[in-house]
Amino acid sequence: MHSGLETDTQPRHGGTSLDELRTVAGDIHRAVSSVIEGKSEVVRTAVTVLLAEGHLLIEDVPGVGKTMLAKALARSIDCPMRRIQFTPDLLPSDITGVSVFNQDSRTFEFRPGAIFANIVVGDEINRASPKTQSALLECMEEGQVTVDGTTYELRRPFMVMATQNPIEMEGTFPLPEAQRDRFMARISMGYPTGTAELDMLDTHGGRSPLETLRPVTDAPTVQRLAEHVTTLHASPSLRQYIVDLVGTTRSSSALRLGASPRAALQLLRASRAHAALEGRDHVIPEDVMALVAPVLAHRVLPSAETQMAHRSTADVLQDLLRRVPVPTAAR
Amino acid sequence: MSRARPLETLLAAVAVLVASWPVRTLLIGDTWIRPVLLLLALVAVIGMVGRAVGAPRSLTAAAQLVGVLGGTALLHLHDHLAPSQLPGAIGDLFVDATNTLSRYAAPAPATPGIVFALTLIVPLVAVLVDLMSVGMRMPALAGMPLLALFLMSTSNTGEPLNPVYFVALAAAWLLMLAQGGMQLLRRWSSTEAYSRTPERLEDRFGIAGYSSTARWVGAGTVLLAILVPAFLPHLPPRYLSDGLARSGSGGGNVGVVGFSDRLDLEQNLRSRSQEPVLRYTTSDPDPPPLRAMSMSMYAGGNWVHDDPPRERRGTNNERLPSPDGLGSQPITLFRTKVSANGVDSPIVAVPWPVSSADMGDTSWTYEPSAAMPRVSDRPDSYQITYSKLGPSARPNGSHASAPAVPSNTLRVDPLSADRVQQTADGIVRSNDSDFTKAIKIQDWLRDPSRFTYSLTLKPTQVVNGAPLDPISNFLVTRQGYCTQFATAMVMLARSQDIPARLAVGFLPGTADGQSYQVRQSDAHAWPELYFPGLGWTRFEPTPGVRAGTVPEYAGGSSSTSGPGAGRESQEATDTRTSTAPPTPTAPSADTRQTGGGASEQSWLSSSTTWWTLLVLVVGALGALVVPVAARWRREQPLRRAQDGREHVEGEWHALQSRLEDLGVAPPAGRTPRQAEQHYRQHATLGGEGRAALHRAVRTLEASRYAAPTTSPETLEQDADRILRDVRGNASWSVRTAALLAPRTGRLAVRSGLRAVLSAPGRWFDRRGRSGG
Repeated sequence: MHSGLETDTQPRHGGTSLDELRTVAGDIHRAVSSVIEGKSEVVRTAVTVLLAEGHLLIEDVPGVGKTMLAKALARSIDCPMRRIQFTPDLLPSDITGVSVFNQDSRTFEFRPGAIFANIVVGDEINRASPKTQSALLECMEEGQVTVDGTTYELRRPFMVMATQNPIEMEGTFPLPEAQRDRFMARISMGYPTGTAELDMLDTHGGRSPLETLRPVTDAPTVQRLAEHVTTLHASPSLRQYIVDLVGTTRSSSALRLGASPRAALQLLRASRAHAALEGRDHVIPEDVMALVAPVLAHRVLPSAETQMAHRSTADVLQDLLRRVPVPTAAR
Repeated sequence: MSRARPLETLLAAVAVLVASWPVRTLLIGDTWIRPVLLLLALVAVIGMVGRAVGAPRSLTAAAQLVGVLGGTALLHLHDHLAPSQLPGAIGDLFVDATNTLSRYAAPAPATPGIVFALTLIVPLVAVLVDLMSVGMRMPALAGMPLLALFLMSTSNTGEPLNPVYFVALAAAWLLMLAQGGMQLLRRWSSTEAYSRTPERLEDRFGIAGYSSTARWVGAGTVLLAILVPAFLPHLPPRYLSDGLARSGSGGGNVGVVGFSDRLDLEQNLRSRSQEPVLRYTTSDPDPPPLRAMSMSMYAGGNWVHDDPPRERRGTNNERLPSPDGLGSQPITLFRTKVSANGVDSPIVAVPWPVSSADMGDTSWTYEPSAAMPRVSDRPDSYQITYSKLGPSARPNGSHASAPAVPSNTLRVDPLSADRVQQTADGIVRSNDSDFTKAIKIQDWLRDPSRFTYSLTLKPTQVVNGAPLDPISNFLVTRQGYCTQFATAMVMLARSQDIPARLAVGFLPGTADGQSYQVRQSDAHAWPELYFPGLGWTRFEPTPGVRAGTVPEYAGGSSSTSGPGAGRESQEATDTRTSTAPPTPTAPSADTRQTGGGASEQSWLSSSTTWWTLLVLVVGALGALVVPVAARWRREQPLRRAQDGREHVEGEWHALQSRLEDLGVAPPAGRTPRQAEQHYRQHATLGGEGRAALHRAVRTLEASRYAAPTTSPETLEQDADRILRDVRGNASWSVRTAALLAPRTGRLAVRSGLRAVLSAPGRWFDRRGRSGG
């Protein structure tokens, strides 16, 4: 299976950082793939988001391995990982942490919440109350927590991987647009193929493969690589392409709500990571095309006509992608 | 528009009228126009009425037909409407028309028969045109009958037709087409729709642009139709009608000509073909014309050739008896060998009078009194020994003592007898000897200040309401060619009781090294006068460039004119006297004209070469237009490239258009990698070609998207490699097309043309917007 990480493309430019990045990314990919079988594209997008320092929203029916993916990705990196099971009675302070009065020292002492980890897995995020969900806002966007007027820096790298179930809507609080916008990408797992499922039954019959998963890298390495990704070259014409694409979502009659400027920003960041994963030191339109659906689909709202036609926003985005001309000349 | 469709009916009638307009050049007088107009109007009115009442097409056409026949009968046969008289009267008119056609060349008098025929033919064509263009709504098809009517005039007129006739007809026909096209457009919608919004200017100027483009195309086509023939080498306008010499398929390397047995004095000289007819060598330094036959009988503007009387079988190289009347005179014998002969049997062109002949295997006869051989089959080569009178040859006796000559050689044409007699009396004195009279007449005709040599005749003069006969017309207009000059001399001599006849043959032709070459255009006619002791003697009254040399005994000098004198010069004949460059060394008028003729001749042949060259060059340039346009379009981005990146883009563009020319369409996908996928699928590439394509695509990609610090690269070698692969696998037809008519070139030319063509439409559009 073509993963995109085992690409035949030899890196043409760039030095050791890119080579290291490819090696590390390939290791993570292999590690995660040993747990999540037959989902190379999904894993790849997840790794891309990790390197772009974004947050990932995994949305699918129960039992396809959403949580497994999140945990496997977290486990493959040697770093603190926290898992939060979102429930209606979960309080914001459970996430951010709370100041507790210490009787001994007679001072307020900050007890960090679940958010203080490099990778936070938020399970069934739409089951928590909006109040709790919004507690995630500041953390995800700014990488910091403010409790009782004191601001605490979060760890770097910091990645939130939230899962949600689109089927059981009773007693849930769908994520508001603002919060959805903070996730860099949304992916769906989808059902595994027949052979992949058969393999899964074989290997997962005994103990969970998650337990045998050994970390392949550590947080500082990931952080360093992520910082390198931001230096990749995106030519002016390519940046224009992204602006054109995002602008088209705003003017399209098939969409009620177009993509935000933040979406454009995150699309560029994700594209850089995607290019880095292929060992390129510059972004090409293919990078953008590969990420338009995961990065933009959850940010835009379909119009009534689109909904009536049972078209997903991803379909609409693919149409737009065909219409927007690719920049040819270097500007 | 009403059902009668008056506008289209009117256009059809006008088109027919315009098509028959050049008939004016064929006829003297306009008496035919009124009845034709009347009947055209009748046809149009019947057509409109028929359509207005909704009669079927066939019925309308039948009614028009009946109207035309009835109208013609009423106009021309109102005195003979009784059923017993009618057929006879119609027959009389037709006979009259036929007679006029056979007797007169254009312009002919408008006799009742001709007017009758015209008032029948033109309205009948009008019925056809009306039926096609209005009834059947096929105005394009109506061009056929219009063309037929037009050709009736063009093929019969002696002179090139004024282009105005063509332009008028083309304009009328295009108007019919345009009207028909508009009708067709209007019929597209079956119900009438009204716009609720006010009519926009674009709506109106959309149609305006459409029709302005149509006007532009129409005008351009007509202009081209006039200009292109003018700039192309073309056959003489009278090529289709037969003339003095008739072309056929020849044996050897000469074309075959035959002689018609009639010579119409009123015809313009028709055959201007440069086809060689004869090739010969001769011992004569100044060869005489080659004689083919003689004509004594003149009637109604025509010469009819003499019936050969008793003939004797000829034996090769046996000396023939002297012709009638030739006594003991100082003669020189010369020998002429004809190596290629295109004159059809029984005529054989020979220098005259023949002393002995060798026709090879061909059997031949001769007329004892004329020393003129005739052959049963066309000999390819033959030898003739002939005699030539010396400069001092003079007649020795009077006509009274001479043996009887045929009486018709003294008969003056009664139509012109008075004028001829008057003219001759003004030239000669009564006490001159006959020979002196003949030389005086010859010199009078040769005077260039008096007569103009021209292959084109002046229009027939009308005196006292009647057109002049051809001889009088020549004496009045003083313009003509050898036939007119010779005929005039024959008649003038006959009026002085000197027997005379017309000889027809060829000028000596052009010297071509040792041999002479005679072309069809060298056909010539000259008078032969009978003198006791001399027999039938050649004179040369035709002045100028297209005439034989004046015989020495008749005042000519053998040294003044070279053998090449007489070559025809068609283009310059009308302006011969004014354009002939004076040659300082040649004192006489004769040589000056000869020199002029020679220089014009060389100009003529070189101009033909130039024309051919020009056509070739234009053709080659035309063939180059598309490839050059393709190259220009292909390398446009490359030329404009400012830096390395744009250079790579330009090279990629050139590669794409070259592949397109080789039949690999450019990719619909847009990124370099999509292009690579596309070309991998659609172009037949080998392993190396694929690798080159991969490299080229990566180069392009890097040039487009990588950081500008990377050094610029070129994909030229890779492009060459790819093209070599694709070209190697393409069929030869694809390769040829890519070379000669590449698709990108055609597109470039087409877009250029479209830009030019749409210019007037855009202009209209702009004007409409700013004005409205």
